[in-house]
Amino acid sequence: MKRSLRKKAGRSLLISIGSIVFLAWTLLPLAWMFISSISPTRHLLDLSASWIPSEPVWTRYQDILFSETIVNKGTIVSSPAAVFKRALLNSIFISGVATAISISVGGMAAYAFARLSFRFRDKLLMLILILQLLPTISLLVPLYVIFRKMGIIDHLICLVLLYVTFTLSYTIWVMSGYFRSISGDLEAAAMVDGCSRFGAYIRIIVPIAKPGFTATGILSFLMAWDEFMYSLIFMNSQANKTITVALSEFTSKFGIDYGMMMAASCIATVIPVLISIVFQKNITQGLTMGAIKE
Amino acid sequence: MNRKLSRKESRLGIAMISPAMAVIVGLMLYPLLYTVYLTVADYNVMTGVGSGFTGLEKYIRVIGDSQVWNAVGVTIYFVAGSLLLQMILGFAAALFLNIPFRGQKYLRAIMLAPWAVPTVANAQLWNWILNASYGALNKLLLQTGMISEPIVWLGRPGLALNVIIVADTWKMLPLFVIMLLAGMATIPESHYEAAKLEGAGVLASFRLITFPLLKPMLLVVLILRTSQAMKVFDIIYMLTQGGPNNSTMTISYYTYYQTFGLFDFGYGATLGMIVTMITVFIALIYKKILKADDVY
Repeated sequence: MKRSLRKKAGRSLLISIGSIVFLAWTLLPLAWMFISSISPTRHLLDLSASWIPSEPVWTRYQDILFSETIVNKGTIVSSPAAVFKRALLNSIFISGVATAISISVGGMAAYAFARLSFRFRDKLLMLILILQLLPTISLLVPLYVIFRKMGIIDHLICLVLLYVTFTLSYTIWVMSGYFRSISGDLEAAAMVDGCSRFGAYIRIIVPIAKPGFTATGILSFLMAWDEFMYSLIFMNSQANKTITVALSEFTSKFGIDYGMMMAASCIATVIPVLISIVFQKNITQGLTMGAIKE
Repeated sequence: MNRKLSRKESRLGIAMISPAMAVIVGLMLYPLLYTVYLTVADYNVMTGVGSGFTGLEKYIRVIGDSQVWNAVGVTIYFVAGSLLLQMILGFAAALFLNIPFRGQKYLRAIMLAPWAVPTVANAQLWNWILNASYGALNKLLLQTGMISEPIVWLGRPGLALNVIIVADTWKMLPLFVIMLLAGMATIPESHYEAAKLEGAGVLASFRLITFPLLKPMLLVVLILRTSQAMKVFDIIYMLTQGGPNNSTMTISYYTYYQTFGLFDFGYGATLGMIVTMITVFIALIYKKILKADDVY
């Protein structure tokens, strides 16, 4: 009896210590990002200052979110914060459109790969998987040449296309596995009722596969939101930058203002982190769907 | 009748994949072949001038370039270091979060947060934490008296890469944990009960049940993370730009530097091909080591 009590106490002590270590590791860096963003600059540059400022400043967020954006020939002539605000909108637009395209086009293709039989089906699916593993850098040069010929370098559409390349192959790979796990009876019943095969896909399969679409959609959005290298190379004018590049330029272009840098980082972070907490189940599903066999 | 149906099905199938295939062929397969062409051609992409082939000249140049070997070494160190660290910590965290206790749900909910932080924001954050003059890490160590002089974390050749590995681990650890937890959830409880009856302790049941059954999942995570870590670029670009003294010059960053810093597109393409080959090679090694042939 006594022994089991001691064992129980040991277990709860272990769990407490584990929880504290886990929480500190996960949250302290994020907390520091936020605290820095609301600390006065002088406070940040004083090593003996307290960790939490006595008078938080919120002006940095005001500067970024409520400054006016004036664009002249692709250059933003108003404040540095305005560049960032514009980049935020660009990122939302580009990631959103890339996700929508890969869900609609990729979902359709994934269904065909999973359920219809045609020549070279398995070979084509394998090709997509292999291309997905390719390092971005090995395709950079040709893509640059192609887009220059098309004359769309530095246009938002160019980044949408580039992001679709990786979100689409991801969607096809994961969704084709998902479709295979859905029973075929339903679409057969729908076709008996006079639906065409494609009609059955739209009306029956798509609504059933909604959880799968949500999961891949969220992950596609996050992947596009996070992308940096393509955006750095293919977008030159200030007005077309995405949030990751705008964030990377906070140090060099506007002098070093660590507080401002952290405020911008907080804004770039808050959307994906909220998504990750709210949609945690879907994300887990999206990450593991390709890995666990049903 | 049946034949007609199957022809109809095959036509529909091709129609349904063609928009996606157009994107994949146009923006992935064709560029890949073009890259292969650039590696063996005498062609200047910027001016459009050049004709004929140089054969394997650029590949030979790669072999003779000591910078490439340095970059390959740095990259392998980065990949091995961050994957090893993440695998160990990932197992520890996953085993911990697999214990049922009150509050476990909340810990799991916030677990993903670092993973969702954009790579560039993560780099800025660590750049600030590691800042030699005003950074939080030096501040903490100075205040607690663990060091008497600030450490230049990103300015020392032996230190910078290790610090970058820690910054990368902070962000990528949740991926390991989430995949391992998902794998653990598929292991039936009865396995552990049987092991307990046989008298197996905690360590033995980990070695005999948990680890072997997680192998397929581990293979997927390792391949995924290797291909990601092999192309590490953002965090290097942000924190050290390959320095100090080329100690963080990864192969991706070196390729970028050759291509868009020195505008040597042909050589950049060749380096890109090398990265591709190494990635595929490592994926094959994993498959062999873990012998999980039933996993794609």
